[in-house]
Amino acid sequence: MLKNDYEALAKECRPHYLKRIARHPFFGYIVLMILLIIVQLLHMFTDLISMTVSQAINTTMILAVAALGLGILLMMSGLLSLGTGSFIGLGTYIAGNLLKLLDLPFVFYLAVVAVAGVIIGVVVGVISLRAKGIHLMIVTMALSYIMYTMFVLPNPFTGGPSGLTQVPFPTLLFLFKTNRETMYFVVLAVTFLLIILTLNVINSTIGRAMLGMSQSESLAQAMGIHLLKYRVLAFVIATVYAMVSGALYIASIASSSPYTWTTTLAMNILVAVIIGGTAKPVGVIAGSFLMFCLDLAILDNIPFFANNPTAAVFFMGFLIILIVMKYPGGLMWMLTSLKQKTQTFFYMRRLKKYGPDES
Amino acid sequence: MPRHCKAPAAKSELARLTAAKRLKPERGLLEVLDFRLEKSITKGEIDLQNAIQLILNSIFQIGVLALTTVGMSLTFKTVYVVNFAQAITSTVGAFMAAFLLRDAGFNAWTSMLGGVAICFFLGYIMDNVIIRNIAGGSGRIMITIGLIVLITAAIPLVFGLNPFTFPRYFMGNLNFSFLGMDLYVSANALFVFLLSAVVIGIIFLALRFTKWGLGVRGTASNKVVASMMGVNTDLMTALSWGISSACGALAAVLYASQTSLVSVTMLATVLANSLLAFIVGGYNSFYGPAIGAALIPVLLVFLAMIDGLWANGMMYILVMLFILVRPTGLFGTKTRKKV
Repeated sequence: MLKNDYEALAKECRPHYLKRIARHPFFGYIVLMILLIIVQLLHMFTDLISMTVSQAINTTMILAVAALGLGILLMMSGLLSLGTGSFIGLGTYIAGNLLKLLDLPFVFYLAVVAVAGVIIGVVVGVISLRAKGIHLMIVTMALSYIMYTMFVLPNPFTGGPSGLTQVPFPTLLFLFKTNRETMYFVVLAVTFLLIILTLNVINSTIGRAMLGMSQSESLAQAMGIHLLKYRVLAFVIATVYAMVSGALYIASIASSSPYTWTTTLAMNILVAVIIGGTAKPVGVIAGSFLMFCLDLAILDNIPFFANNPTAAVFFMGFLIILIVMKYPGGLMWMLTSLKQKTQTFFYMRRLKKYGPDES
Repeated sequence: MPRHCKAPAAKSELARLTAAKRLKPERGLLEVLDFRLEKSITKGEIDLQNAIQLILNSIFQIGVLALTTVGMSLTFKTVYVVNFAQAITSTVGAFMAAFLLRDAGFNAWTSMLGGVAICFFLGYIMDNVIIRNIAGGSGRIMITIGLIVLITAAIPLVFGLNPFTFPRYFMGNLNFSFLGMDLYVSANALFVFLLSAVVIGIIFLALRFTKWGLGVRGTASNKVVASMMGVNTDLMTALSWGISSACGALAAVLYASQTSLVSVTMLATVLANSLLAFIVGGYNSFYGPAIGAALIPVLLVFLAMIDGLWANGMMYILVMLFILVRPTGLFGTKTRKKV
């Protein structure tokens, strides 16, 4: 065959351009972002979407950022940490105090908080090299309690038990003064950027090395993977994500109470990651929507759950247990297995009706 | 005569010397320390009596913490799960006991037994229905967190929103003197401590001498081999869950009897401290966690004497450093892993 024939064949076999767009790894996330933007626009200009739903989505996206970091830490490197909640809290305090002092573009605060996250992540990562599994969990839990004590005790940095209140909204690029409703779009933008970063980390050599480390540390070491480097890197990523999520929180909610930043929040984020089942952003975001958004956005619209709010929480707990019991691989595994089940169901029906295929 | 004359002279000499000393104090370091100690004891800063009294006040916490920790170590040894839901299942026992006492006409003792029995069945069913059917790994920890969410919501649904109270089993204080110090201890706190010590003692003796204990120890060391040798490992794990929940329920009822408070979050700090005690004592020994549980409230008392506000924070820092220096805990042994 000639060279032209090859080109013609390639042209013929090339899928339709719409199909190519749909197969792009970012396509699903872009669709999700557009949907969420439409939801917010509906809230801002019509009465179709209520305030609680918009705020629930906002908080969910903020916590999903922290969950993305924890996903890399837990699912890729196999390190269990319960310190996420307090790192988010630290991020809110650093960004909140800076917001009160200076009026600069929002990127500046994100950068400062990320640098602080790198420093703390290195410290925690080096500490973590001595602890493994349950020890690491308890060490991070103790760390989280120490930070909680620091937040609650009266001091000018955290504002003591009453926390930081009345933090001004940031400006964008020296121009736009944001408010609560426009911060939603900023949160979405930052989340989208971090989703792309996460996808790249997972598919790069860093991600492969972390995956190898989580399977067998000794084997990974024998293959030439520097354990300290990748452990510290995993912790740095998780901490930076958590602190950035804290900065987003203080910028869009404008107050921070120390009683939010407990191990309970860290456990909830952990559950969101495990229910998602993968470090991939699809799973993490699905898990955080189930964990943080379902009860506020959907269940409260059903009259039975609106009348007794504890029933909604009960339902959530039931759902968590059911998913972990039936589908230990998480939501994504559930979807694929359900797909397979429906396919086999239809195949069997066809088999009964028409007999086996002739070809 | 000379003696008679000399005495006043000597007296005046002494007076002169002491006066000089008062003007120019020349004391060594030891004397200064002694002086400070004397002063602080009289002021009540570093008071031995005070310290012992504070430890006696927190004696019921030692008992409650030890019971919870022993229950947690039982489940960890047999199923390899850190049971975060331990505190909340125990709280169900306390609510059940308070409910039986208030609405069903039980007295304080039988309602305690009722709460413990209910929790035993709860733990047994939990293992039979949920925990056993999960492949292991982090899924089991997730289940315990899911149970926290579920039970926290279920308690107000089942028991209603009216607050519960629980009475003390014994009223009044016991006064006694020890090494010349007048001390007192609340009779109920002493009862809590003694009852938990007796229960823990019975569990340890049963682990050592009964057939159940042999089965549990076999399951803990190697589940597969134990089941091949004819140990009903499923029954063993279910019983351990039941007994661990029953221990927790007893702890919760005793805690409620001392603080007269029954609420959903009443055991939150106990859970955190028992996790720390569990690691400090050494998580792969049966007896270590109980000793760790006895140490933590005492440590907390001494830290509270240094700084009341920062006592908890300092304890967490100390425990964190301890875990990093000695990951196996006080009584743990190192396990080796093959590639």
